[in-house]
Amino acid sequence: MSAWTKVGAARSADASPARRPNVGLIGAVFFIVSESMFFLGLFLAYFYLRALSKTWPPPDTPPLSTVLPTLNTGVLLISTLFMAWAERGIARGDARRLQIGTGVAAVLGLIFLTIQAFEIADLGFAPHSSAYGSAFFFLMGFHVVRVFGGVVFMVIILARALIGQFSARRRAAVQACALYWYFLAGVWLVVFWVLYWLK
Amino acid sequence: MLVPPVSHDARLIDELFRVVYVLSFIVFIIVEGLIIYAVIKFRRRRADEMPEQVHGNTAAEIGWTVVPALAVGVVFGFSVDTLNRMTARGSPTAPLAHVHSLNDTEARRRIEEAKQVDLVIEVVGRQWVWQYTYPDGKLTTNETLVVPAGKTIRLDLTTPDVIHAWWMPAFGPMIYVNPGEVSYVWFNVPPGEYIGQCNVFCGVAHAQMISKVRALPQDEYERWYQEQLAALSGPTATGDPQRGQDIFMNQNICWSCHSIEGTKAQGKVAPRTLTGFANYDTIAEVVPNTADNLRAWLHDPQAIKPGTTMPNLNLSAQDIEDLVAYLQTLK
Amino acid sequence: MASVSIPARTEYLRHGLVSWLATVDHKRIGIMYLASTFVFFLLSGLMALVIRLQLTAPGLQIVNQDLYNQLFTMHGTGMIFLFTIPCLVGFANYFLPLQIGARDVAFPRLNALSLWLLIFAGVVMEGGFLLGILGLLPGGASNAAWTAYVPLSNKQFSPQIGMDIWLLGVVLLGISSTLGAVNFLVTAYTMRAQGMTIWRIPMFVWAMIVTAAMVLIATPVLTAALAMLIADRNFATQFFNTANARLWQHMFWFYSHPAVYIMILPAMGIVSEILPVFARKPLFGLKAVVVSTILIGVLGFTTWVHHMFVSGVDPIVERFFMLTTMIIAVPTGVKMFNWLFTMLGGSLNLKTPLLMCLGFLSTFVIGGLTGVIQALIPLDMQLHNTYWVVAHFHYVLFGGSVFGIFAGFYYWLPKITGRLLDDKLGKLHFALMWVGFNLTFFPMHFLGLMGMPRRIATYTADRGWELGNLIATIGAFMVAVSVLIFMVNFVRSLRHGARAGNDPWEGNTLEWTVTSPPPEHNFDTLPTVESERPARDLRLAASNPTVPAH
Ligand code: HEA
Ligand code: HEA
Ligand code: HEC
Ligand code: CUA
Ligand SMILES: [Cu+2]
Repeated sequence: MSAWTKVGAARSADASPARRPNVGLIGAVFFIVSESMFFLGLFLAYFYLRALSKTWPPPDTPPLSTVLPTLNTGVLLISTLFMAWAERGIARGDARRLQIGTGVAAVLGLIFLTIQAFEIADLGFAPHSSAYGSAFFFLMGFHVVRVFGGVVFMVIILARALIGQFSARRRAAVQACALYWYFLAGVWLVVFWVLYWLK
Repeated sequence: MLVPPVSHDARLIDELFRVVYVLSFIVFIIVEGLIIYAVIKFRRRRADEMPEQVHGNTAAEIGWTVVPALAVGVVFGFSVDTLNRMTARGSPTAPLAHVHSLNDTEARRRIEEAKQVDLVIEVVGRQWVWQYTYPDGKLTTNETLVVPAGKTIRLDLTTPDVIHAWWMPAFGPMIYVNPGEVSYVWFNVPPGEYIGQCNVFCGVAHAQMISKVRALPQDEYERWYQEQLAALSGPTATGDPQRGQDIFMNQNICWSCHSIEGTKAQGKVAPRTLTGFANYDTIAEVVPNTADNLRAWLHDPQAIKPGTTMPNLNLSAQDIEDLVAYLQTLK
Repeated sequence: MASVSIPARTEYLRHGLVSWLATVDHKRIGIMYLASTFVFFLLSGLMALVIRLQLTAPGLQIVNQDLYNQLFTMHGTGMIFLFTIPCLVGFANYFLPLQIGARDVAFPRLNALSLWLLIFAGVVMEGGFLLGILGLLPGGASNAAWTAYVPLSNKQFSPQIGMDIWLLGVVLLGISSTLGAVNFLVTAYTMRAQGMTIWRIPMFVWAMIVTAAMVLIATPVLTAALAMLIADRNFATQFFNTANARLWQHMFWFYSHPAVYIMILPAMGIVSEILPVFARKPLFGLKAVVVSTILIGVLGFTTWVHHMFVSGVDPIVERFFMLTTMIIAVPTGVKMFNWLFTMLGGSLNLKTPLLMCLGFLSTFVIGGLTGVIQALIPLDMQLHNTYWVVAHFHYVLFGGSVFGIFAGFYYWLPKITGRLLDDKLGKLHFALMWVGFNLTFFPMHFLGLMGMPRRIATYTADRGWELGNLIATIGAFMVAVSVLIFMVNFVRSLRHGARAGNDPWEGNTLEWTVTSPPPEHNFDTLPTVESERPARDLRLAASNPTVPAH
C-alpha cells in the first residue's frame, strides 16, 4: 500500500468533522490569493506603461469594438449563475442540479473561450506592436489561460458528479471549483473595464 | 566616509554618517554586551539547575519598542534635513526635485534658471566608457573629465544602451543614468584628481568603466582646453581612412572583436568600444593615444602590452597607415 | 486507529531508491529538500571561493570577466533561490507537521510536486551554468546579476540562451514555493493538535505561517515580471524595450525585498525555538515576538523602493519608503531584545545549537544596523552598489539565515537521523565559521566606504583596496574549511554518533515526544496540547506526576 493511502486513512480515522475544516476549500482560497497577486502584477505593469506613454493606445491602433467582449461578459456571468445554481443544488443533496449546472457552466465557458479567440484574432494589433499591445495581450491572454484551466476543472467536477462522487456532505471540490470560477469572472470584469472602457 | 569629502553634498553625507555611526555603535555595544554578559553570567553550572520561569515583562518590552522607535524618528528627521540641504536633490517642492526625468525643454529651462552653473558638460555613459563633451561641441574626452576648480559644474548624463551610474566617491551622491532619460549632477570641487567608476552592473566590462575628474585652477584649465583644441586640428596620420575602414570591416577581422556604434563591428572581445576611440586618452590603457603609439600597437600589440588578448595581425605598413587614419576619425 | 499499523521502528528509511522517488511522506520530502539544497549551497559556495580568489589581489585573471559575471550571478541566485529559501522550507517540511502534532501536511502529493519542481529548476539552472562554462552554450550562462536588471537582460544586450534558461529556472522555483506556501498555510491552519490555540503555536510554525503568506503574495508578482521579460526576449513584446527601466526594478523588488524576510523569518523561528530550550526558560514575551513577526511580514511589503534610491523615483515616494524601511528596525529590535532576555537569567547549555544562535544574534545585529544606515537616502546615495551593501547582505543572509540554518541542523539533525553530532567538532565548526565569516565580510564595509563597487571582476592597485580584499579571501577559505568540518561531523555521526533518544535537548515542542527518527506516521495517537511547551509538560508530568506542569 502506498504511503499516501495509509496517511490518508490515518487522517480520516481520527478526524472529527467539526475540527477538520475542509483543506481543499481553504487551499483553493489561498491559491486564489496568489492568482490575484499575479493579475495585480500584470495590472500594475499595464498602468505603469500607460502612465509613461504620451498616447495610449498608440495613434495608429485601430479602435476597439466592445461588441464581442460585452457579449462575452454576459456569457461568463450567466455561467457563474449556473455554477452557483449547481453548487446550491448539491448543498441540498440534489446531484442532478449539480450535473446540469456544471455542464451548462462548462459549455458557456467554452463559448467564452471561442468568442475570446475571435476577439483576439480581430484586434488589429499584436503583442509586439507596442507596449500597449503587449500589456493588452498579457491581460487577455493570461485570463484566457486561466479560464481554460477553470473549464478543465469544471469538466473534472462534472465527470465526478456523473459517477456520483458528491453529496451534501462531500462537496468541497465543487465549492473550490465554483469559487475559482467566480474569481475568474471577477477578474474578467476588471480586465474588461480596464482594457475596453477606462479612458 | 573613508574617501575624504570634497563637495558640499559629500560633506553633508559625511556629517550624517558620523551621527548615525555613533548611534549604531551604541546599539551594537548594548546588544553584543548583553550576549557576552549572558554567556558569562548564566552558563549552566549544574545539570539540574532550573532557572525562574519568567514569561516576560511588559514595561521592559514597551521600553525596547518605544526607545528604538524614537531613535528611528530622530534619525529620519536628520536624514530629511540633510536631503533638503543637498544640491543634488532639492526639496520635494523645489523645481529640482526630480533630477532624473526632467528631460523635456520646460524642465531644462527651469534647471538653467534654478542653478547658477559655470559649465555644463554633456556626458554619455555607454558600454563601457564615459564620454564628456564640452559646451561648444568641439571637444570630447573619454574617461577623464577636466574641469575648472571652484566652479559649479553641471553634468547632463544620458546613455544609448543600458543603465550606468556616474559616481565620484569624493563628491558624494551617485546617480543612475537610465536609457531615455537625462540625469543631472552638480558639483563644485577644489583642485585635485578624483577617481570613480560606473556603479551599476552594465555588462562584461563593467569593471573597466572607470572615470577620472581632474579639477584645475581656472587659468590652467583654460590652457588645457586650448591645447586640446589645438591638438584636434594638428597633424594626424597620412593614410586613407576610407581604405582603413574597409580593412577594419572587410579585409581583416578587427570587427569580430571590436564594436563601433552604427557599423557591423559588434564584437565583444575587446573590453572597450572603439566608438569615439580618437578621444581616448590611452591605447589599451597603457600608452598615450598618439598616432605613433597606435602604429606600434597595430604592428605588435604584445610589445606594447604583454599578455593582451589582441593578437598580432601581421599588417603591412600601408594597412597600418590606413587603419590609423580610420581610427582617428572615430570621435 | 486500529485500522493502521504503525511500525515502531524505522524500516521505512531503508526502502531503496524508488520509494524515495515516489514518496509523499513529509519527512522524506523534508530530507530531500535539505539534502538537495545543501548541495546547491556547496556549489554556490564554491563559486564564491572562485570570486574571492579572483579578487584577492589587484588585476588577477583567474577567470575572465565574462565568467566572473556568470559566477556571481549564479552564486547569488543559487544561494538565495536554491539554498536559503528552499532549505528553510525543508526544515518546515520535516518539522512543521511534527510540531503541530499532525501526521503529514495537508496536500502530500502537492508537497512532492514542490520538491521535484525545485530539484528540476535547480538542475536546469546549475546545468545551464555548467554548460555555459564548458563552452557548450553559445554566449554562456546568464551573466546579468541575480537582479537581472533590464535593459541589460534584454535580448539586445544578453542574447544568449543561458539567460532564458536562468529565467525559466526562476519561474519554476516561484511556482514551487507558491505551492509550498499554500500547503503550509492550510496545514498550519487546519491540522493543529487539539488544544494548540493561537498562543501555543510553536515559534517556528508562526514564522512559517508568516513566511508562507509572504510567498503567496510576493511571488506571483515576480512570476508576472519574469513572464514579461521572457516574452520580451522571445516574442518581441515591448514591456521593457521602451524607456522604462524602472518597471522591472519595481516588480523585481516588490518580490525580492519580501524575499529577504522570507529568508530571515524562518531562521528567526529556529532561533526562537532553540534559545528557550537551551536556556531552560520560556521565550521572553512570546506574544510580542509573534506580533513582531507578523509586523515584519506586513511591513516587508512597504519597503522595496529602498533598492532604488538612486534610480530616479519621485522624492516624496522615496521618503515614504525610507521611513517604512527604518520602522522595520523596531519590531526586529523587539525580537532581538526578547531573545536576549530569554537568555538572561537562564541556565545556558552552551552546546553547538546555542552557539550557532549566538552567532546569529551577534552578527545579524550588525547586518541590521548597516541596513538601517543604508536605508537613509543621503547615505545610500553614497553606499548603493558598493561593497558596503555586499557586507550588509552577507551579514543578514549568512550571519542571519545561514547561522540560523546551521543552528537548525545541529538542533534537529539528531531527530532526523537518530544520532547526535559531535559537539567538539561542532564547536570547532562554529568557531572557524564565525571568525572566518567576520574576516570575510567585515572588511567589506571599509571597502565600500572607500568606494569599491560591487560586481567588478577586477580592480587596479592604485585604489587602496588590496588589504581588505586579501583578508576577505582568507576568511572565505576559513568558512570553507568549517563547512568541510561540518560535513565530516555529519557523516561520522551517521555511524558513530551517540544515540539521540527521543529528546536529547529537553525540548519544548511535540517533535521531541516521538522517537528519533520519528515513526512513519509521526504520532500513534494525536497529541493534545495544554501550553506552549507541550513536550516539557509531558516530561515534567512523567518525572513528578503530582505537580501540575506549568
Ligand atoms: C536576510 C536578508 C535581509 C534582511 C533581514 C535585511 C534587512 C534589512 N535590510 Fe537589507 N538587503 C538584503 C537582505 C536583507 N536585508 C539583500 C540581499 C540586499 C541586496 C540586494 C542586492 O542589491 O543584490 C539588501 C539591500 C538593502 C538595501 C539596499 C541597499 C542598496 O542597494 O543601496 C537597504 C536599504 O535600505 C536595506 C535595508 C535593510 C533594513 C533596514 C533591514 C532591516 O530589516 C534590519 C532590521 C534589524 C535591525 C535594525 C537590528 C536589530 C534591531 C535592534 C537591535 C533595535 C535597535 C535598532 C535601531 C533603533 C536602529 N537592505
Ligand atoms: C544566503 C546567501 C549567501 C551566502 C551564504 C553567501 C556566501 C558567500 N558569499 Fe555571497 N552573495 C550573495 C548571497 C550569499 N553569499 C548574493 C545574493 C550576492 C549578490 C550577487 C549579485 O551581485 O548578483 C552575493 C555576492 C557575493 C560577492 C560579491 C561579488 C561581486 O559583487 O562582484 C562576494 C565577494 O566576495 C561574495 C562572497 C561570498 C563568500 C565568500 C561566501 C562564503 O561565505 C560562502 C561559504 C561557503 C562555502 C565556501 C561552501 C563550502 C564549500 C566547500 C567546502 C567545497 C566543497 C565542495 C564540494 C564537495 C562540491 N558573495
Ligand atoms: C582576437 C581579438 C582581436 C582582434 C581580431 C583585433 N583586436 Fe584590437 N583589441 C583586442 C583586445 C582584447 C584589445 C584590448 C587590449 C587590452 O586592453 O589588453 C584590443 C585593443 C585595440 C585597440 C586599443 C583600444 C583601446 O581600448 O584602447 C585598438 C586601436 C585596436 N585594438 C585595433 C584593432 C584593429 C585595427 C584590428 C584589426 C586589424 C584589431 N584591433 C583586431 C582584440 C582584438
Ligand atoms: Cu557602466 Cu557599469
Ligand atoms: Cu530590501
